[in-house]
Amino acid sequence: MDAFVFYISGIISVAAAGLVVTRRNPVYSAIYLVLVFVMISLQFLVLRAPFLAVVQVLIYAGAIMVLFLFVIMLLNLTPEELKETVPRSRKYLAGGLSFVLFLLLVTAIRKSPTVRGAPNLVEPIPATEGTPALATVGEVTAIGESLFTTHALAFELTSVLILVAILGAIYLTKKRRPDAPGGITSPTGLETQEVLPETPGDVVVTGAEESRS
Amino acid sequence: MSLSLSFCLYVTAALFAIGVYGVLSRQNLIVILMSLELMLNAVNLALVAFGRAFLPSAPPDANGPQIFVIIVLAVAAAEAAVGLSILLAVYRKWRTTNVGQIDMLKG
Amino acid sequence: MANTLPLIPLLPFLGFLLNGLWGKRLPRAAVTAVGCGAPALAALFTILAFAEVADDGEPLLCSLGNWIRVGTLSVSFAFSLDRLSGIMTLVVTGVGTLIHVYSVGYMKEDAGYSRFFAYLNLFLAAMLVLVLADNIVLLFLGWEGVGLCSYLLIGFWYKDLLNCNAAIKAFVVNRIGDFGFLLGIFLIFVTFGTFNFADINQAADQAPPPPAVFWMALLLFFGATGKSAQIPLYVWLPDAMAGPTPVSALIHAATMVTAGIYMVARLGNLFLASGFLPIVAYVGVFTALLAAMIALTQTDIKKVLAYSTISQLGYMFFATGVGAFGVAIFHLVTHAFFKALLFLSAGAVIHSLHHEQDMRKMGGLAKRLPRSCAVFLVGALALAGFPLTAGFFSKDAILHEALGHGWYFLVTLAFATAIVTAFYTCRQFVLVFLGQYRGQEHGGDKEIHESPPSMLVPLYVLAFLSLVGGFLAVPAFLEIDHQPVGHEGALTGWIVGGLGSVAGIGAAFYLFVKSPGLRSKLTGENPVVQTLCRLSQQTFYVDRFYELFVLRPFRFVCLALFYLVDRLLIDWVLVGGTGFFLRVAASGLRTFQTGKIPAYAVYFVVGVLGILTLLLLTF
Repeated sequence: MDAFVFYISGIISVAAAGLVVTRRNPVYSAIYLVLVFVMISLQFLVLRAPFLAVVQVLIYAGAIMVLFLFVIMLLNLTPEELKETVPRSRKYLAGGLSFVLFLLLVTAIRKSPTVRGAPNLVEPIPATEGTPALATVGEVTAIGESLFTTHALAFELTSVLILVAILGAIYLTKKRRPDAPGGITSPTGLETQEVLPETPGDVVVTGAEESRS
Repeated sequence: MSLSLSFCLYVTAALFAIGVYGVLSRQNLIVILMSLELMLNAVNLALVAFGRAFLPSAPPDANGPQIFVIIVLAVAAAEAAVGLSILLAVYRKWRTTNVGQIDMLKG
Repeated sequence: MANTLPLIPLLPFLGFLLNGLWGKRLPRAAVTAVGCGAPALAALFTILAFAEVADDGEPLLCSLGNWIRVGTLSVSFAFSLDRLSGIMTLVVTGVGTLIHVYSVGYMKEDAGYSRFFAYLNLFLAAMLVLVLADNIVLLFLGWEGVGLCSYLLIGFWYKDLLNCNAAIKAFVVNRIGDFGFLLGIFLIFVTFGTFNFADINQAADQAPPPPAVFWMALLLFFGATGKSAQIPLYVWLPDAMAGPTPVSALIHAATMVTAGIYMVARLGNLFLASGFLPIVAYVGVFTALLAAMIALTQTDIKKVLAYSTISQLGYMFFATGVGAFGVAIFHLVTHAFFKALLFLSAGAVIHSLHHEQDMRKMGGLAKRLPRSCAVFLVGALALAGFPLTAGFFSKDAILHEALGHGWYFLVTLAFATAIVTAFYTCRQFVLVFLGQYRGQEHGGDKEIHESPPSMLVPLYVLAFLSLVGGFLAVPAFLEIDHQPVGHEGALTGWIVGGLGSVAGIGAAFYLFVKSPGLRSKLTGENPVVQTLCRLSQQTFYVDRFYELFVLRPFRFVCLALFYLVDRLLIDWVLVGGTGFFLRVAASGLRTFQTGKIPAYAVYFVVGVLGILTLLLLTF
């Protein structure tokens, strides 16, 4: 049964991935990407990673994709702006390269003795005396314990990383004053002015600026 | 029914290859970023599959692969956030999200 | 005394350094003092050392240590003075000092005064190294050194391109000979394992001598033909007259050109054992005859003397060729006296006439330059072998020895050459000093007047030596002749020789002074005379021969190399090609720098694929 779920979700995820990269409208791409994530979450479940399955949906589908959709809607691109003038040759080149990549990976998979020697993934794990921990692999408690003890350093570093990302994101998107440094002319011929429409985020920033000045 | 490690890895490979295709052939920055996420997810899947495959003979740290995946997840999230901020900044400056039009490095 | 041997070449070398490095800043008197003092001091030491050796003949040795030491090959800076090198050294330092003194007056108005003395001193040092060396490699060092100085001094007035060409010609022709010389040295080492003269001579004595000895002699003699201007490498000597007259006197008459003869005498045993000496004799005689014939029609006063030198050197080689080494050296010594005298007095004439060298523009100078005329006459008589002069005795000794060893054919030729020698010498004297003056009249301080005492005194000394030098029993003193013939029949020889010389002088005198009508009739109508004259004027087409068969092909090869290798290969293909290739590569590679991110992403992926492929392949 589990294997069947995996097979189905695998096929669907690959199909959906294909759709992600081929839609012109980025919103459609985002929707299909969510589908991919959900399928992957199912696969995680089959592979005895329940916590990860949940986290996958929570973070990826719940946070990251929302972020993507926010930005898409913020940009509010018109259909003309969405038009992509990709020459056919490039599409073929990309397709060729990725196909070659796929072939290489498949060859590696088929040739590797490690992979060939792996057991059936849906077999229950035999409980042996010296390894009680194997029974609870992937459970929340087990993950939590491992995360905060054995891998505490990675955890802390990740938190620092996220902090850095936050700072970066804030700094990059802060509204600039007109006399800010820069001044590279735009290839689209428009002036470098503030063109973003009003958003809740903007109001706060503007307000702060006004209060300051 | 049985599930082999190889099949998992085929799925992984397919997802990864499709992600590469997306990065190379699209011009819309948003879609490129999404393809990037796709690639990262493929890697996550591979990690979990390997982790499950070697469970019977796993070292004391049997949860290692999954914790690795958590970290990757976090990094991917951070990277997506920063990437999108850059996208916004670029859009502000040059009024376009078309990668083909951003060629200031042209030599 | 032995320890002072190295001083003899060292003092002139120091003179070279002093005058060469600081000569321009020193006052003229200082330059003169150093330039003439060094050779004089060297001469003094030579005399002292020679006094020791003269008695017992035991050589003085002084080694300054090792020069080259590689495996079994060992060469040391060793000097040795025995009777042979003693005589040579005396000649070199003695005549050398006289010529240095002469140069004070001759080069007085020249801007390169200090440079001249520096080079002259350097030459003396090199020549002394050559003569005093006790092994053949050190001799070769001196050999090359004098070659270098010859180049420097021939091309002394370097602003005139012709002088530079003459210098290059001298150096290159010498170099060709030196190549043979060097091969000879190698062969000696390979066969005998030593470079030392005493050892070589001893090793050559063993019977039967190894066959390589013949080739050694051949190669060494080939080198000698270059340095001592014999067939086939004599062609540089007439051109070398482009240098100042003291140079011609010192280097190209008295000393450098005699190095070949000295070398053969030094390695006498080797040459005797080689069986090569007959060839030496033939080359010597033929060179003597050829050069004398060419001298008959020369119009430049120095060129006559140049060909005369080649001719006399041929005589010396003839003597060595019959085994009479001591007699050869005897003639070398007397020739140094009278040839230097002739050159220097010719120089006095040239100096007085403000650098006129064409004899057709001279004449009647006996009245205007009486002293120069007198000394020139002495030298001319000695060269012609007039009875009782030095040249008479030495030339006759050669013929006497050769006759005693049975070389009838060559002796006949040599005797004929002697008559020709007398003839052209008398011709020269007549053209320059007798008859009417045919040149330009200079007025004021460009008037023709006698040379200063600094130039005349050395001439007097040399004249004296040319007269009495014949009474020095050099061959007996040296004792290096091979089976000397002894004195019986010597008187007959003297009489015959004297008659021949007088005949030559008389014939020239008759044709040029007494009966010029006969002369013009002969040169105008007699076809034999006309052909001979033309051959002589064209140097028997030897120079033409070299031009056509040596120089032209060489130039062709040079041009071919230039156009093919230098222009085409190096400039075009390599340099231009590299540039072109780089440019193409650069512009080709630049197409990758699009500035477009998707392109870079593609490159990225291609690289990843490459790495993956590599990994898979090595899996």
